[in-house]
Amino acid sequence: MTHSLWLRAVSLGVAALFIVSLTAEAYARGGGRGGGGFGGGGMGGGGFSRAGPAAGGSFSARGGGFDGGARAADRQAGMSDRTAMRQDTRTDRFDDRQDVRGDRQDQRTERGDDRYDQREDRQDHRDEARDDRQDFRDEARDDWQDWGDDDWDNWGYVAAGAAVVAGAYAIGTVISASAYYGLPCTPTTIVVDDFSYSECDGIWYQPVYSGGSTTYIVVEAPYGY
Amino acid sequence: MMSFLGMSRVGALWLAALTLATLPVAAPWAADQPQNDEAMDHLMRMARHLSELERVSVVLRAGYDVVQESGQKIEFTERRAILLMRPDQLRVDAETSDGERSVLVFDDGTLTLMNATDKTYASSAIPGTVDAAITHFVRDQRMRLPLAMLFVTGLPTELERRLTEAQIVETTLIGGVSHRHIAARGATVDVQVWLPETGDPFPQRIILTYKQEAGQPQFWANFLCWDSSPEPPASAFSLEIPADATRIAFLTQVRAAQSGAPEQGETP
Repeated sequence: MTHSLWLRAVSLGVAALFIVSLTAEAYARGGGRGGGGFGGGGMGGGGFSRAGPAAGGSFSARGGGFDGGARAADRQAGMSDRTAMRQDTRTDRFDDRQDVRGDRQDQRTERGDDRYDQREDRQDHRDEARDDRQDFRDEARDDWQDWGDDDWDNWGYVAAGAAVVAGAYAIGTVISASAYYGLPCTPTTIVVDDFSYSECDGIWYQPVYSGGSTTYIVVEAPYGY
Repeated sequence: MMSFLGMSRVGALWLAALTLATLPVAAPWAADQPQNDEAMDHLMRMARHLSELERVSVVLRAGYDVVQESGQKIEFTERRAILLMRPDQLRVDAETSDGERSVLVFDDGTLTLMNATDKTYASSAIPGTVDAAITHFVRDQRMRLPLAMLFVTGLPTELERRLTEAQIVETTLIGGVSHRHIAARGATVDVQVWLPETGDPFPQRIILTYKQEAGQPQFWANFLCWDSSPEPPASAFSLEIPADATRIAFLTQVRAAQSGAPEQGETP
């Protein structure tokens, strides 16, 4: 009897280990998915970046000059995006605090639940912030790798230019496909003048090809919406 | 005062010292120059040949390193089938190692990129030749087209401007055919090219080393099936867009629209 129980426990343990290992393998295989476009951009499976100076197969790299203006504009746009996002994040935080205070006054019986939610929110925010910093580092690295000293430099290599930040997005912000699919709501997609747009929480996104990936840029609402 | 060939002793000593100082520098340069010229001649012959072709098709298997933030170097690969019909038709079918498939077609002044995996496509009107379309795609639309420079008519000028020195490393067999392995240097990228010793100077293999980048990542490509007289069907340049495909824009098109700036390559 004891022996039978022991055998059953061992069998269950082996089965559990097997399931855990399968799940881990599936997770490792899944990871992020590379973007679309002409290949080579975005993140590969397992979170590995597919973008880098050698991806373009260019006969020269880096430098300034030819596309400096555009690159500087991109950097400026990125900085503006980041500044806007920081501002938005601060506003969100303020709103959150206000909401929390309101909750304390109006829903004292739910205080425990609120605190729990807040803890979860803070954890989510920290996770997002970590992702944001990582993405910004990637973006910054990609920026200086963009283009070179004339028309033909860095042939084919350009960054996805994805600036992924948490919270609301400013017009012109470019987010990666993975950030888009991670939006807090399911976007509603419409077609206007033959082009696709999607809306989530009042923010409009337009899919675009950039570098080697399909990314999403925040745009004004299409006319009539 | 004693004299040597009419010079003072001090003058003669200076002359001797100058001669000795110059010899170690001058000798290697003189020895390398002919080989540098020969290697560069082979490269330029390749460049002229590629730039003068009226039509060509080739398949390339390529790969490149991406140095991750952790410092780990990861290689990704892809396969590209390129069909070029000068002056104004181009088709590139690409499949990356993660299974993404895409097609780029330039025909009748319109450049269209379709991602068959995502079922998305974007178009841009580019009046002019394939050269203009490639430049627009890479420079203005900021899209990937590895080794694109090999397929523009300005290749000889571009190579000449970039490569400062070249040497023949060795002669080696590729697929049983003797090839010259040529190593050239540029300011930011070192180039290795394998060219056949006889016949048309189509490159069989290229390696680009980004020597100033962290980890010195490389891009490599093996060329298969060069054909300088392809006879593609007319449909090769008419891209069939699936009915359920979504039309999207290039990022630069949207950015230009947002800023109100004129954008090269109108949306057709």
